[in-house]
Amino acid sequence: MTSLFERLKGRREPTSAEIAKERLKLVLVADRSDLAPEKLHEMQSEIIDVIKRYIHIDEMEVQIKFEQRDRKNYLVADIPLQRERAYEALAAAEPAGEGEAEEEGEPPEAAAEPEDEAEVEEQPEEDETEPEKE
Amino acid sequence: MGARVITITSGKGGVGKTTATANLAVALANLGKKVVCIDADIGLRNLDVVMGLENRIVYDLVDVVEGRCKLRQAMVKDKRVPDLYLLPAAQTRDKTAVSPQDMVALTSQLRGDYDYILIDSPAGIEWGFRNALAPADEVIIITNPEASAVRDADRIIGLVEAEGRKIPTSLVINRAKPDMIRRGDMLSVNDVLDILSTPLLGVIPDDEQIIVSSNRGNPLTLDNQKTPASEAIRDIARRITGAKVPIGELERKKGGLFRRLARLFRRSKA
Repeated sequence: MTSLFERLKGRREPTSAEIAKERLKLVLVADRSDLAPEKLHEMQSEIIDVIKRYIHIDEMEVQIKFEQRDRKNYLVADIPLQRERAYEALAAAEPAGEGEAEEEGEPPEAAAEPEDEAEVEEQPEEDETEPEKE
Repeated sequence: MGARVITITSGKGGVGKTTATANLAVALANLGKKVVCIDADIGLRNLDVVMGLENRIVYDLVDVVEGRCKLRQAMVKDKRVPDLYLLPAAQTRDKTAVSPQDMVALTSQLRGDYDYILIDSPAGIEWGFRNALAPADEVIIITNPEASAVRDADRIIGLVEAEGRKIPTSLVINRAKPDMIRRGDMLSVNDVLDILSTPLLGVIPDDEQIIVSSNRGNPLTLDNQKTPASEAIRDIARRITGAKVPIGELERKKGGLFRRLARLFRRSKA
């Protein structure tokens, strides 16, 4: 039995029901969109390639996944920009969206809010461009 | 118009459609409603056996459609409850003997005289399912808290939506095992609702008495037996009639119903 403490810390193994739920979500994305699971991967890497043509992104941290709200699937992209560029882009452009794009062919918007990207902020060599250093 | 035609379907076989149909029909009849159930599973009829009416069949659905008998002649009256009839499927024919138009015509003949027409759909998404869906005013989707059953339920919900008639659809989760859900080894009611995003009509806990009652051909809801499944099915029947049987508090709240049931189980073991 996992304790409540471990659960809160998120360190326990997922239960079989949680595994089933995650697997179901994925398979239903494929079922509902009539897109083979393998094609989903292909699409993800193409999306990344297109975005890379315009902005520098932190490719290792990119997450493109499907989310469901009320029987509708959303393609949600979480794309951290590379530190310096992200900061410039932020300063130049109007506020970016939440990094979500609907499946209906709208291009995903990059999530350009540095405070959301803890991993990037912790990279020491980029401290001098840190926007929120005290 | 009169009757409401409710089609009970699931996509996947073996989730408990026929048993749920039989028990809901009996429960509705016990509430004083006039009920007909139609077995739409031509070639694999079973509603007769679950209801215990298999020895009283003279004619069937295909005989009616092909004009060998009058509709009323094919309807078997269940004498144990006030107003319940079964229109059995043909056992020796295949699904193509009946068309969706036949089903619409047949149910419209019955609508004036009954309150509820329950159609037990066959598993699958082809001809038989199309027949069962064609006359439906409402659809009840039965699923189990298992990945395969939920996946098929999702497919069925999509197909019902694609009909374009905006048929109201609700969900019954059957064979829930409170203990397994508590251990995290079975999808919970909320997990299933998250995935299917369809209104919940009820949750039927797994109950050995269901099998016992099918063995005897006495649907659990016939007499006033209080078993977990019969109670849940009676609640569903009352919800169908429009009664406000609290579903939110009992079944949707995390652990609500299940914790209560689990407590009951433990008490009965001790």
